Amino acid sequence: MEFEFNLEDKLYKISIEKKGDTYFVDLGNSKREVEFQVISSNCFSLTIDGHNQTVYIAEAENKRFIFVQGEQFVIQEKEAAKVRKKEDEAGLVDGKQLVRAPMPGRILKILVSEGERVRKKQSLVIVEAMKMEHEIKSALDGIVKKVNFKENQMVDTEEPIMELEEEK
Amino acid sequence: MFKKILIANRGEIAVRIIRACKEIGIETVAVYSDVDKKALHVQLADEAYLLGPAPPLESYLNIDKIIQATKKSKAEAIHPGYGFLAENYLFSKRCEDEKITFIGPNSKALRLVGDKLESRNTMTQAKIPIIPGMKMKGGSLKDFEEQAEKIGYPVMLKASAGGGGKGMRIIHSKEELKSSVEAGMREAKSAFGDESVYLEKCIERPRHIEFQVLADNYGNAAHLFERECSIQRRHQKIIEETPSTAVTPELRTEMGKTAVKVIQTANYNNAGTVEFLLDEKGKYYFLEVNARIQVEHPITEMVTGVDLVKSQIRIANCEKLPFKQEELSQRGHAIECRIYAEDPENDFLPSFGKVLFIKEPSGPGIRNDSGLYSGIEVTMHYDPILAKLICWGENRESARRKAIQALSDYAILGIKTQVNYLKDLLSHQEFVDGNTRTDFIPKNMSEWKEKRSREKLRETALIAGAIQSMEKTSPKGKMVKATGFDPWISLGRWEIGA
Repeated sequence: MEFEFNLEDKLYKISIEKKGDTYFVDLGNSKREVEFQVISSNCFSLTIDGHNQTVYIAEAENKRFIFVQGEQFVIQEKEAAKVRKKEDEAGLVDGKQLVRAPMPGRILKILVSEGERVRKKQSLVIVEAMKMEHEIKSALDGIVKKVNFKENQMVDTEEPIMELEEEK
Repeated sequence: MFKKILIANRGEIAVRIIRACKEIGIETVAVYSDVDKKALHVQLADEAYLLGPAPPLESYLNIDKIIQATKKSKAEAIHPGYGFLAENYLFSKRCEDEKITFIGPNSKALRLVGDKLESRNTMTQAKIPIIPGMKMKGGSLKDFEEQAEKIGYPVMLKASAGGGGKGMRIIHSKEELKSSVEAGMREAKSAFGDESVYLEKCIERPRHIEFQVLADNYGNAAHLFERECSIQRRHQKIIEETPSTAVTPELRTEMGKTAVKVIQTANYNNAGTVEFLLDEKGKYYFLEVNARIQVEHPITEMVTGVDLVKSQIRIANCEKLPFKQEELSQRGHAIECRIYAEDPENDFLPSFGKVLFIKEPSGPGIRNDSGLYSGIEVTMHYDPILAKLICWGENRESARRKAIQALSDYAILGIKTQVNYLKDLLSHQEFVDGNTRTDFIPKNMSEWKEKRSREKLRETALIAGAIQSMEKTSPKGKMVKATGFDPWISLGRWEIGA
């Protein structure tokens, strides 16, 4: 069987064949022989080319969280990985920058208003979560085109709080 | 002894207190907010009362609602834990008026030590060394500017009612003053309900050394040695250890005596922690008294063998201190790592969501204090502390190695934590050498990135994922679906036949 997984923004192709109790795994650049035991619904024991590894696994929506020797990995099957509107290197979409909430929280203070000119590193908005305040600063010199929120409103991760237009 | 105690807190500390009560044979009452219906402290307690919506002012900080729950449950005492109402003298006073035992200091002592400014003044009179700074809270911005000039930049902004780093900021210049004072006041207001802030001299590169003290209601007091809490991020402690690598036996005796004197000067009873800053020349300054059980109390328990929470309950029950100073000693070394719901790769922003799966490390000398279980929802309403990992070893190096190994065995899936960051911090040569000062993190960890070689492990993760997917498609597959949690847990509180 063939699988395609998205992991850390890279796509990996894996093919597996099962013969008896052994899985023959082809990762493209390497081939492995694997024995596999289910310890519990969240815990597998793998023997990869003779080496034992205990793996913890949990699933939510389309994501699979996998813990291997102190490291956590998140994999998604190819079709589940969503694509966001392409941003260029400076995070600009069509010459505008969206100032996104870095985490869910409450908009504590909006420090600029529409039409205002802002400097790079100027504080734009303060978001509060878990009793801590987080200041979001401007990444560019520009003008505030649009403010999508009011103070005290709740905001979710990645939601655009405001739009800035770069000053040329 | 009390028959029933209400725990006015949540999370790992509520769980810790419930366990102590159960061991003594005291019934426990939990209180909770809407979002904590399924929290571990609610599951473990004998009774539980809903306080109200998630915001602390409508639940865990609401004195009336907590007193109501106490009366309804007929609990005789309240343990406040840390944070929330723990150091609120109005709450302690209210308990006194209502004839409910507050497990903590008397309200007068609590008021004194809770007012950082007033306690600074009292301690000056008792000849306790304090940090130079303002003797009164700041009013206007001009007032702050003048005081800052007088003390000399950099200055430290502190909340008069505060602790735990809330409202605290280093101010390097006049330009930073306005926004820092405003933000500090807002944070102080939301954390303590009091926006008073003041400035003191910023001691450069200090160590944060604190002494645990227990004092009974009859004037007996003893200290249980120091804890070093210099490893802090944004004034928030993340790793604590005892003994401190900087404290010699002579200094320990001297600081311990000073700590006991601070407690007695304040007429303080029950458990308290006297915080000091130790500068590069080995000079120490009294900082404040933390009038509560502290987050880092377990390391003291590990090296002294004294259960601090049970001691608090016994002292509140008017029992005498069961030991004298000379009967106490430190054995071995203990390190605590605080596990926070934060993403260290993304500027430590809080991470919320469902903990799909958790496996805590175990083994000799490893202690987990946590309120977590597979399936619990971590919400944005409260402090991001999830759990504490405490490791004991016969010496510092063995405790350090044990902590690193235990962190490697700590699986928390579904939300981000800073476990790997802690591992790298403990592995840092400066930490190994015991060069721990409050600037440790900006100096040694600011460039931190996930840097260990994940290549091989990534492959293992992919193989595990692929085999799981394959087994899922097969009708005779070894397993059907790895769910994030056990359905029995999500059922919450229930009774058979109810």
